[in-house]
Amino acid sequence: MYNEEELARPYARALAEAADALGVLDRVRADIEALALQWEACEALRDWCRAFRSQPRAAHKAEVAALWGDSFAPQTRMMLEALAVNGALAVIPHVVTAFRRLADSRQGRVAVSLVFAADPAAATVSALTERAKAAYGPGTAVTVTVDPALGAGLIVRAGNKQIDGTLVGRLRRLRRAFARSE
Amino acid sequence: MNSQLKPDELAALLRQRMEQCDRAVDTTEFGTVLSVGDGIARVDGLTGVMYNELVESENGVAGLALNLEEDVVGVAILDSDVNVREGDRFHRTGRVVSVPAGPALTGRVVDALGRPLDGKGPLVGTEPMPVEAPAASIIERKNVNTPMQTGLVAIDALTPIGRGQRELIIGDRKTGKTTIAIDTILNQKGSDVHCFYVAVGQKLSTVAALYRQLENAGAMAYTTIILANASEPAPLQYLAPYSGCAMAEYWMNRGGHALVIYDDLTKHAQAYRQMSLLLRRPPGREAFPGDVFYLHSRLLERAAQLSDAKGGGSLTALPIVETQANDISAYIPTNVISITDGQIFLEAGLFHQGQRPAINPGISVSRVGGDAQLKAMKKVAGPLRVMLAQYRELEAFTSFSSDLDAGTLDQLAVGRALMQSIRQKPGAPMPVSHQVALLYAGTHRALVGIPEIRLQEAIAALFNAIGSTQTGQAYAARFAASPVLDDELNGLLEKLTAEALGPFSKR
Ligand SMILES: Nc1ncnc2c1ncn2[C@@H]1O[C@H](COP(=O)(O)OP(=O)(O)OP(=O)(O)O)[C@@H](O)[C@H]1O
Ligand SMILES: [Mg+2]
Repeated sequence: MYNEEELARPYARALAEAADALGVLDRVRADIEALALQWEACEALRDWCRAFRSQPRAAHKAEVAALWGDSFAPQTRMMLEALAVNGALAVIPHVVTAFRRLADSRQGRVAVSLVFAADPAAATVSALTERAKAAYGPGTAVTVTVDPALGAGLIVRAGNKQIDGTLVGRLRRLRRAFARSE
Repeated sequence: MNSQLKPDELAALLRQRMEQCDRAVDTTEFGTVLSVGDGIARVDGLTGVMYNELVESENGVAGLALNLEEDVVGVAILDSDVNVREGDRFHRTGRVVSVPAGPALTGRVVDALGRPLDGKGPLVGTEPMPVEAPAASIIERKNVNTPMQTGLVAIDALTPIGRGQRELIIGDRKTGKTTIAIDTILNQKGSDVHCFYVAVGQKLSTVAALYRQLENAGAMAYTTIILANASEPAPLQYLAPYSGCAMAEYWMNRGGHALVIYDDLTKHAQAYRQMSLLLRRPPGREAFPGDVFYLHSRLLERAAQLSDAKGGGSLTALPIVETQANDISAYIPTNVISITDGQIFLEAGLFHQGQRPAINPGISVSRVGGDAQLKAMKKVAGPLRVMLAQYRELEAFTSFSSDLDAGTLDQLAVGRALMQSIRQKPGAPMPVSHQVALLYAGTHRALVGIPEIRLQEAIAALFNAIGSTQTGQAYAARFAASPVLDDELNGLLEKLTAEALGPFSKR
């Protein structure tokens, strides 16, 4: 009844907490990004991990050690071993996603995305990017996309906050206000 | 309703709405759906969200924020969950869930969010009421003092209900629980009570039949049905009683009177259990989550008779609970019994013997309604309770013994006639003046000599006399003027019962 995302979350949380407490969050984050790339690139790895699901065995701990060896920080390795012992290696992609979120919030990193209704002027984009970096730090990642369905205007998302200045958003608010009064 | 809105009113309404929400830019906090299934979404990032806050997805799906964990919020989806996918965003609204309330709801069938289900067009001119609201405090209340007549003589005499009271109707399946509630609604015709029937987890066809029954009796003119049937998502079934309560509070807060039926809280608790398991709350007794008591206490506490300073309005609650094999010691029955001001206990055994309504007078009680009972009713009902109790004892005893003395046989006959006389068909509410005459007859041995097969006929003749004979009319007039059982009224009742019932007696 538990889904993979729920299964993965405690592993990601434990890893983020431990790494943060030991001051190795950056190192572990690099491990996790590397792991994500491996998962993406290597079909054999994916198959191997998925095969674990139905046959949890302590011996697999050794196999994990053999596979990833010294390439990862001890915390990352311990987390992978725990996954292996519990036959849960298949949830690695969910661990990656959850870990990224948790690490972001621990490191105060904010992802900023700008969604324009029409192709923006380069000057507008660079001005907004500057503002974002000024507010959230020079390392802030800013993504820019265009969605003509928005009609006109712009949506800015930073972390969990959204500023909606689009025509579509304005119409939606109007429609809801009416729906409520009915 | 729509057509009654004049063009200039419509224009004013439009203008007002535009002003209220015409901010060019809107700032919200959102979370991202991690997973979704069985009507529950796990959402990451709604950090500041309140318990019970309404959240909305970008394609307009409403949700209720329920489980507040450290980094994941459980959202109960108040629509079909097929419109919610992993990666979708839910935005905070800053509002708790509210439902529309007001006169426009009368006569309508709506869902747990107050959305019309009857195809009779949109609701116009309503006021939002929060589904969760604090109950009135002690100083804002006064004692129950006005009867809430059910029209069922067995209840009005033995377990009288007062406005603002919470009286539980409890019994196994198919023992006439709903019928008692519906009869009570029917009996409010011509009074100032607004009725709300909340159907939780029932079959749609059952509620449709009930709607037709109310409609045919003209009772939809003052009734609203809130429907969350068995096929609705559990979160809507969970919400429905609170929604009905909020709609009723609209009237109470304005000095008016409301009656809410929750049919039934067993299914409500089951919907909540299902939701809680999906929200990964640790299950406790009977797999219910630990806070299931609070689920019903906070609902039923909102029933009240407000003080005069608060406008004197009232909200009466009749929750229904289904038992298994008469077991009132199961978790939900015990809880609800401890929250309410009394219970009407229905027994399958009585029901099958033809004793309907199948009320067991021995264990049915009303802890506060007696204060609201009419004086005359109180006077005739007093001996009734005692006589019925004696009858039950004797009956149990006599099943072991064959040779009974004349006195015992006589007592049994009186008791049997009394039990017979408080049988009542569905949909036939009885005015108080009739109830008093009937109980007077029963407790004064006027029914004993009548053969069993002619008893209903005799009772009908008694009621008929009240409207037609000289004595009957004198009684009715005197009762209407002052329902106090003094010598004059006693005299009239004695004469009336003798005249009307005499011809039926064997002796
Ligand atoms: N006083 C009565 N006299 C005759 N028949 C009755 C009486 N009360 C109820 N019935 C009949 O008994 C049946 C069951 O009644 P009702 O639906 O009220 O029971 P219930 O306890 O609410 O059932 P459920 O468990 O299905 O909710 C109905 O067909 C109803 O008409
Ligand atoms: Mg029923």
